Amino acid sequence: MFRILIKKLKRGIWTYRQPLSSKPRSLIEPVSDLFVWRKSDIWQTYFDLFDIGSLYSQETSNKEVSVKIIFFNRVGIKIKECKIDIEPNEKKCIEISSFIKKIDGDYGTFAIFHSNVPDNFIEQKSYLTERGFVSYKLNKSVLRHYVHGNSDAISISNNSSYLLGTPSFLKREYRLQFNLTNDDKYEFLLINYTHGYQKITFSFVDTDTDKEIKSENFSINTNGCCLCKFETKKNKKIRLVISSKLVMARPFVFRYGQKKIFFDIFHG
Amino acid sequence: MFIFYPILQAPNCQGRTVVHNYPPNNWEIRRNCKKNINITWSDGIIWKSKKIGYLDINKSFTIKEEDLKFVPNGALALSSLSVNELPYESEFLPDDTDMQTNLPEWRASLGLESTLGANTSFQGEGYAFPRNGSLLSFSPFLQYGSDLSNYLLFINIEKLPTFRKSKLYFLKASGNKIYAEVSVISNHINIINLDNLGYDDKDLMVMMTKDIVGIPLFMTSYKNGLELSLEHTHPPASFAIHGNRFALHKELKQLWAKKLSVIKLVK
Repeated sequence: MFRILIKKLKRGIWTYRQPLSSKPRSLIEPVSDLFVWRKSDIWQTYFDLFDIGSLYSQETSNKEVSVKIIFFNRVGIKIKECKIDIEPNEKKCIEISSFIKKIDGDYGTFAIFHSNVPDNFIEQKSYLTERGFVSYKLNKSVLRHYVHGNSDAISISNNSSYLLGTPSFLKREYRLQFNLTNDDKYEFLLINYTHGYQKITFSFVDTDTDKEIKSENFSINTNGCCLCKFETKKNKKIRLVISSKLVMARPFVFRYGQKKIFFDIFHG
Repeated sequence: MFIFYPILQAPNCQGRTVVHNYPPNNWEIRRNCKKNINITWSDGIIWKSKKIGYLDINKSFTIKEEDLKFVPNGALALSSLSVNELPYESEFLPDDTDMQTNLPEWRASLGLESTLGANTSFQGEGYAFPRNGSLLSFSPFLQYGSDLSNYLLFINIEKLPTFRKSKLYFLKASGNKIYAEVSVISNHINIINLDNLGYDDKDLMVMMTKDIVGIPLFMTSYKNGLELSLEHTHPPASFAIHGNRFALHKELKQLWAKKLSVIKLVK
């Protein structure tokens, strides 16, 4: 009994009032992941839109449905918003980067809010959420390289977005279960989905010696993101540990082949 | 739950799975230990497991499809890290000490490398799906253009080792027809070419099953592997958060199952 209590208390330190995502203010307010856009001479970003609400209806509706996209720059300042009409039960792949101006920088975040929230979501006290499929082209690649979102981060009320992430009481480690090697170069993009500014440490650990070989500190504003680059010349296996007060500091990982030419994207 | 990490298979590619003996966070698993690295596969009658090595704490190990000569051709190879030795043969998918985490799950790097050198990967894991469960999946991943090929890699794992046949049904979100019915086998990676099923850029692919569940992975390849893209769909339950999201998921599945029961295959 005492042991179970101790176990619960130990776990409670990490879980009590620290949900991955808190509830929006109203059941009609949709939720979105906070996705990452990249735009430059070599980057284009895309998103596949479809009306989630119409999938819950047997009849094809004639009502107009749309999404609102809100863009933030890397320091979390809103730079643009737009409304895109979509057809029920059809898909529309839009070039996200075409909405971004050069002055807005090379990368940032965006969120997608659906106008069509079916009644059954409200009946079940659930919130409709866009988890995404973002895709990227690099150096005029032929394929769009897909990755899905990984945080129910943000909601919207009366045209104003607000974040749903809560910070952890204690600093946590997120240990990316992936080997970094000298075969590839890497970029890690991490978003801040909490109300407050976050300090982040990226530590790179040699798996042979278990010693840190490099670390980098970043600060991320709310709604913003940071980009950490890593490459090694040594023939070693390296692992990444991200320390922060984010409940889950899952980065988007951009991987560029050096010995073989390729580009890969996945989330932690 | 004891977790497995499939070694992927796809045309013109080799599967690569990197298993890691360190948890993905510092607070869910307090005590880790040296583990056995295993490969498990089914011959259709019985599950077989072979220990291929040990993995120390904080180390990783790469399993390559081409190194698994002892696994019969076409069989689904499942890697795992176990505290105890797995039985050489078992009537049910082997089980061992549960060291799975939740935020996030303890995962491996599952990937494909093409013969032309392109790599693609995701962080994933697999476990036994319930027999006779059904699947509903909405996929926007198809890409079109010359020299592009789209594949579905449908991975099913069940507790029983049998190879039973089932079907995948391909629909469009906007239509009232079945565009293809494709046979699939349990405990396999079923590789299905999606290029000639009649979809175009505007179509949202709907994939359904009646009595088999699996992980739907979508791979697009340019020029037989010069570039690769790989991602899995979200289960429709993730269209909702909080509240009774599983009731919503059930409603959605019932709605689409009803639709599937009244529509016919396009000949």
